[in-house]
Amino acid sequence: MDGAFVLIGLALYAVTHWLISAIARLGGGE
Amino acid sequence: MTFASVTLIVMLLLVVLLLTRPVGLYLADVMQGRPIWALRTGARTEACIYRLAGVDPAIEMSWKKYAIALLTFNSLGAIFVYLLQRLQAWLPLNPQHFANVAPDSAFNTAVSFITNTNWQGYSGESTMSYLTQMAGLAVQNFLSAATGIVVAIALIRAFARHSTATIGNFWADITRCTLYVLLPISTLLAIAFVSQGVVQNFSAYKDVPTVEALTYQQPKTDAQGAPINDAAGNPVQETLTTHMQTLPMGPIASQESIKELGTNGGGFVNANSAHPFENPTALSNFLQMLAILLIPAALTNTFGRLVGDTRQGWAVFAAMLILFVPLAAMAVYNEQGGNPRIAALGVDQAASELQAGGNMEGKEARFGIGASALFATVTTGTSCGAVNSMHDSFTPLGGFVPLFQMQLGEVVFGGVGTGLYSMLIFAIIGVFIAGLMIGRTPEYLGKKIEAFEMKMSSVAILVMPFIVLVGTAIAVSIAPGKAGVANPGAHGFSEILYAFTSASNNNGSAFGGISANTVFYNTALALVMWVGRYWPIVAVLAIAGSLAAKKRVPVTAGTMPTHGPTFVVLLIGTVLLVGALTFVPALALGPIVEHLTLWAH
Repeated sequence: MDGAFVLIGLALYAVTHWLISAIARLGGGE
Repeated sequence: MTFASVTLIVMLLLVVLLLTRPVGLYLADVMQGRPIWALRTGARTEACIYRLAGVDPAIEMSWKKYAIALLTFNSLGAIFVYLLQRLQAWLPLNPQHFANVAPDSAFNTAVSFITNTNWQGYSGESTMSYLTQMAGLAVQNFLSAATGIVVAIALIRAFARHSTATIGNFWADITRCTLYVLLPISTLLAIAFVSQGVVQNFSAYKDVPTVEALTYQQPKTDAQGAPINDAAGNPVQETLTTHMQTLPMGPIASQESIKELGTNGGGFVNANSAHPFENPTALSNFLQMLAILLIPAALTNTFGRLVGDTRQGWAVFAAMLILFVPLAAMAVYNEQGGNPRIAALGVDQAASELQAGGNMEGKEARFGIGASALFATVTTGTSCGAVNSMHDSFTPLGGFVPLFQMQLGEVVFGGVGTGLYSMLIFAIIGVFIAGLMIGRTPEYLGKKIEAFEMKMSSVAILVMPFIVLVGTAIAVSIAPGKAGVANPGAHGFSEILYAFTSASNNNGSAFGGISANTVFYNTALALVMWVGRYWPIVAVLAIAGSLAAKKRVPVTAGTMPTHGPTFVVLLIGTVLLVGALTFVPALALGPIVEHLTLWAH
């Protein structure tokens, strides 16, 4: 079960990281 | 409302008002790195931290780098807290020999504490070792609070700066905030709490024989901790008798101080601030409420100072204060009013010299109605979530106040940092609406508010209602969501709505009555805590990056002043409009229908 929660945690990190990059591409002063 | 309740509200707000300016000034000095006494004294320690971490505090970051540093730092914290819980049985400082925490509960708690939520599906005194409490949970109490503050500071800098691509250095900001603000103030608070009787030791728990045998009933639960109901849907009760009481011990005061100061709210023990070892006296209760409001209120002054016009900060403070007072009065009034069905049985519910009167169910006798209802208002207007009474036992409209305060986005006075940056997002939306009405390009503090800022403000505002309402809808539609609810009907709906509202807003208080330590709730609430915390932060930092790059627009006769009463009214209207329109249908299904049902007979 640890593996499942590690995967969920990694997914949350990855999606949020992607969100940062996507917004930066949209033109947020980057 | 009694005279004592009114006096308490006035005294609390007066002390908050008196401390807003000096603490706001101190925060401004620290976050600007001015060579004040504290920074000179701690300079070596600070330099040592940077050297160990391999950080150059002088290097400024773009908003994207700032956001990634924040996200990575918090994620590493989650991994550490998760591992600490999963391995605690084999680690030191575990005198009660607690087993390792279950994976779903450990995941929920790790996300809960890094996001400043401190939702607790577990019972602290029967689950967590001292090492987990101190090195895991209390450390994140500091770091998650500092994270909120530095995001607010980055946004303020963006208003104060112009034509630049950077908003500060995340590592320097979080180090200074923790080292010079949170650590010293929480140390002073911990000493004050110890003086009031809050426990601070490493002793094993004490078994104490009770004066007389105690027979009590409690809802029967299954192996998962979910209540067992009979054929009619009512909870099955079991009768128990005991001659012994186990008193929890531990380093409570040191965790208690940052729990309030950092608007974290996670109690060392399950009863949180209702427990006499966490909150023993009327004075400790007052100090706890003050500690919760201190930094959120002071940050409005810091904001005014850093943008070069303290009136801007006072305008935001005024909007928060004007929202706070009627909500606090509503909570106290309804709790003091009591329960009409109990009054119909001939029970005297009037306050007198001999009794608190009103609705005392779920409240501590040593605090009474005023100090309980006010605490509930304070803890849910901020992102704290500490409780000194059971919100589940409030009257429907008394319980409406904590729920509604969170649904407004916790801006009264808000969490540490989160309250201010959320209010500034409402300010941006407010000037946009005003700009539409008068046909001018909206401006705030000399910065033009354009399409990108509005898109990001929309993301920051709408993420929370989306995950609250969708999460609640899913939970009431499937069996695992309904299984943990002890009360059927409107109150049960309120319990689920409250859980998702509390988690999404990173408040962490529980309505009670819901068994949330299940795989479904542990996972679902962890997801909404994460999204509710970091997605708005990303949007806020993106706004900061965009604003910092803009030129400053000179003030003209056509510029809308944002330091006067008109702006305060506009800001309050924006907060209420967004909050009310989004959540009224859901509230109608919960506390409002429950209130109408209660008074219909």
